[in-house]
Amino acid sequence: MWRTFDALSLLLTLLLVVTGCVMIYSAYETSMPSAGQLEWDNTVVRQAVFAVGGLVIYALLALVDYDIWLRLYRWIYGFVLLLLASTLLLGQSRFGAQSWFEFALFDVQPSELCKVLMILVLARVLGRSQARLEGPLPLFEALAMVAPPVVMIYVQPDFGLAVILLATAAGMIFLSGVRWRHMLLILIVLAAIAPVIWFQLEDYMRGRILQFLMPSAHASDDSYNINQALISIGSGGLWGKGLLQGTQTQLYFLRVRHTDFIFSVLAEELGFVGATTLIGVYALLIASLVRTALQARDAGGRLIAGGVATMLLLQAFINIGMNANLLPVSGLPLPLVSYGGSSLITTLAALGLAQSVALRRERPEPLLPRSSIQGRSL
Amino acid sequence: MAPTCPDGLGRQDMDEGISRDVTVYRERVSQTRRITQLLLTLAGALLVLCVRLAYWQLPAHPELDPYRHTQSPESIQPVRGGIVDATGYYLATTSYACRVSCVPSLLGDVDRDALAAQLAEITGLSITRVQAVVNSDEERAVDLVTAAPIEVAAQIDELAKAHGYTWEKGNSLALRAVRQYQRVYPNGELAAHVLGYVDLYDGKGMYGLEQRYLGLLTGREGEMQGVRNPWGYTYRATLGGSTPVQDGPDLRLTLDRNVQYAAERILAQAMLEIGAESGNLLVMEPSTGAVLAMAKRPTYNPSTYWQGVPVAWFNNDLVSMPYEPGSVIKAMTVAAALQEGAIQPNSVYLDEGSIEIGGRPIYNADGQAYGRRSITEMLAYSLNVGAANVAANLGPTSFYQTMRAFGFGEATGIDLAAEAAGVLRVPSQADWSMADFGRNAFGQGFSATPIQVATAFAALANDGMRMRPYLVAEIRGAYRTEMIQPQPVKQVVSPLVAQQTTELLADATELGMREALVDGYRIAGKSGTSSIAMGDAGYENDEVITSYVGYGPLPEPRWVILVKFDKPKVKKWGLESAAPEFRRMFEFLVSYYGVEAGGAPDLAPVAPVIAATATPVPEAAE
Repeated sequence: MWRTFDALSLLLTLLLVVTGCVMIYSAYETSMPSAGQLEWDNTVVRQAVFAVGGLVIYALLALVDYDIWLRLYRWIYGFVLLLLASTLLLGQSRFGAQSWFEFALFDVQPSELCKVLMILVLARVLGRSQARLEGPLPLFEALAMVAPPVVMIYVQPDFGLAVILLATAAGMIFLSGVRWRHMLLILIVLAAIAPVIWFQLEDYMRGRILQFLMPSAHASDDSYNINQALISIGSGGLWGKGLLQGTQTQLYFLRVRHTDFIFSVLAEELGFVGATTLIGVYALLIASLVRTALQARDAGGRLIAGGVATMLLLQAFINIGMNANLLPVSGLPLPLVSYGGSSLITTLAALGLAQSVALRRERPEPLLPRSSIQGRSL
Repeated sequence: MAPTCPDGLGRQDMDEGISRDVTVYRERVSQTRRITQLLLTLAGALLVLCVRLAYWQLPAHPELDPYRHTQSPESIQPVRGGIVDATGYYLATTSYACRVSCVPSLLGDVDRDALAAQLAEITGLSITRVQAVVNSDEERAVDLVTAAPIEVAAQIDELAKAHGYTWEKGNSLALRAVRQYQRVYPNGELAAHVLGYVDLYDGKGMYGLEQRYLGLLTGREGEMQGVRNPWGYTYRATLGGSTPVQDGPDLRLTLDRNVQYAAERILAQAMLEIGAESGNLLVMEPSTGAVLAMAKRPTYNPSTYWQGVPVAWFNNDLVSMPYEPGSVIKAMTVAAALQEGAIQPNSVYLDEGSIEIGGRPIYNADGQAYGRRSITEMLAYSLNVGAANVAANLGPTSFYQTMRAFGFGEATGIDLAAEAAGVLRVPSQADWSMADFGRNAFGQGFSATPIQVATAFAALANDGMRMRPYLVAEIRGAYRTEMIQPQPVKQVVSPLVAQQTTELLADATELGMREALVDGYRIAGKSGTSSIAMGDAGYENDEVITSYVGYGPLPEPRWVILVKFDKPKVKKWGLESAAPEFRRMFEFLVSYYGVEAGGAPDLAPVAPVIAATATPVPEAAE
């Protein structure tokens, strides 16, 4: 089994985690009064502890056959609904979001966890027989299952995470082989109800979207952050100002610099070379996940690996796009790099699931040319 | 296992199993294709990001200037150096303090008594005092406290906000708490004339050491180029240079605050007693020129210099106000004559009651003739005819040479602001006349500052070597401490002549100036009583300046003490008013420095030749 272990994926994961710790140190610790002191309550140390915890979960999930989770999908789905519902009822409001549970050691964001669990649920729902995919039923089934968590996360309100969950689900539906015409139908329906959704959006969400579309018209906190991020990135140049040398970062111009805007810190201090290298590492990690998907034992494994790859890339894309003023501010962390226990641990868990798929892959026979199976009516 | 589907597989051969296998296979084919499509899409997305980054990062974007918040260089104010006395106590220091003032007419329609109570509680002032200010209708800013602790400022600001007063430049107009560096003089009036004060508005040192060491104490302004982030913190920019700020160094003085305090107390009591217009007291070390105490009355508090003090009170008369020193100068005349061999210590002259020099007759203060007199008696009874006699024997050239050597007519170079040189006309000058010479011999017709007179006496006490008087013993900078060495200026007379003069003065003191004597110590000194010159208009009637200058204990004199009163209302003789204060000062010094008595012979009572109760007549009254 260990022959099929995806060492490249693990290596790239660790590389990203370490990069994250270094950038958090630069973004946060050096500009604090207690610079240089390694204390227990230090941001970098906390992140490292989260990473170790996350890697333990990674290992456990890799060892267990993912098929078990697929079989338990009803229970998992029930757990997701219960968790999100109780979050809405009990969760404490922080940063405007009711999504944090106080756990003994640190705070966990249940919706982050649900995002990963929903990949398992969808992998099962969509990974059943191909025959069903001929009709629109699995599509509706998947959408029906994904809708309640999305709505509950959206209500919390965590706009960014709801978008990620929805987009990941969409990606997995696409991967599962649902017919184009069915997907088109859904899109038309969505386009029709889009105005209704627009007026349902909270003011700040509309503001973010508007600000993205018309940057100068909405001078606000968000546009301040975006401006500072752009200045960070732009002043980084080709090689950057050097680690710990970014003026934007070290002088507190960037505000949420160790979480949402850590990419700007990296782009300022390590320049275009560093930033594109980071994007390259993400690309390689996603490529290795896609390889896992291609070689997966079954459709469930394919969809798990494909779902994890989609989720990871979407998050990275949305976060970097936000830093580079390509996408609206969403409050999504840069996976594996941004500071934050919930995001780091759940992302490592997702990669652990993909590793579990990789460990159980088979070397399939090569696919025949497309023409060889055409003309068959089954 | 996905089945292979070779071509030519007959429809009839397909069973359910194969059908399922084919389904799984088709599913895999479809999903694989979809994965590839997704991969390409995602790769495209990442490529878009890279292009976006290339757009921002590769060409220069001047509009994205990370130094846009760099401020123009900001000056950093140095902290003014402190002034420390010889024992290490601060006489002047600088604190970051707050000055609370209020404009009563702008306080508006509020419960003034309640406001006064709040202000009194914050500032710690008495409520009646605050009420007096608050309840008035003054239209200008009235100070409540000039140097309150800096924490008070925030409380005052809060109070002003609570009352909704108009704000301008960070302060409310009606109730103001200005934060600033402030000069603080912890000892109040003590040594005010030595120190001077610092102007509240432009921070310039005025008078005394504050003015003399203006540049040094001020320090050097620093400069910093900073970046101010949106939260109001300023950081030093990595671009651009900055000059480090240099705080002013501390000055350690020769002045001892205990001696100074004693001097001021003695002076103040004497002033009460004799009702003089002003009084000076100086204590100096003859061997070094170090000033131990320099007091003037009336005085002021430099911390609150603006509170109704006549400008004349700021003047340090001891260095800035020349006067006609009078009979004390007879000591210099004698020394000059001894130096030139014109007289011997045991010389005797004939006093006929008057002597004419340059066509101008000179009389004794009481207008009487004394007959044959020794030099000692001449000094003891301060006989003008005798002094003129001695000078006539000496001749003007040698007299003026020696007087210049004693330092008359030129500034002593003491490190205080606004030192005056006095006027001593010499034979080479057109407006000099032989008549001047006769009067100069007993201290009339020329002017000198108290510090010049004391310095001249110090030269006699120091074996004829005149030292530069000084106050700053040490300049203590942050990186460097500079010691100031005593500075010899000139050998005025030979050590022998200096000692002979000292002995004559000591004998004369024991003979005729016992008011200055302290039991068990031998003291050399001379009293003086002089008319007050009014420019060319002659002399003020009935107004005198009384003084006594002396040093001791012999044979190793440790202190020169000068006491001087301007226009005393009673005791209009130097011997009556100044000599007792000399004694009090000397008594303090011997006990403070623990100098044992000894070396002075027991005194047999000497019958005074001149009745001490004679009507005071200014010596040079013509």
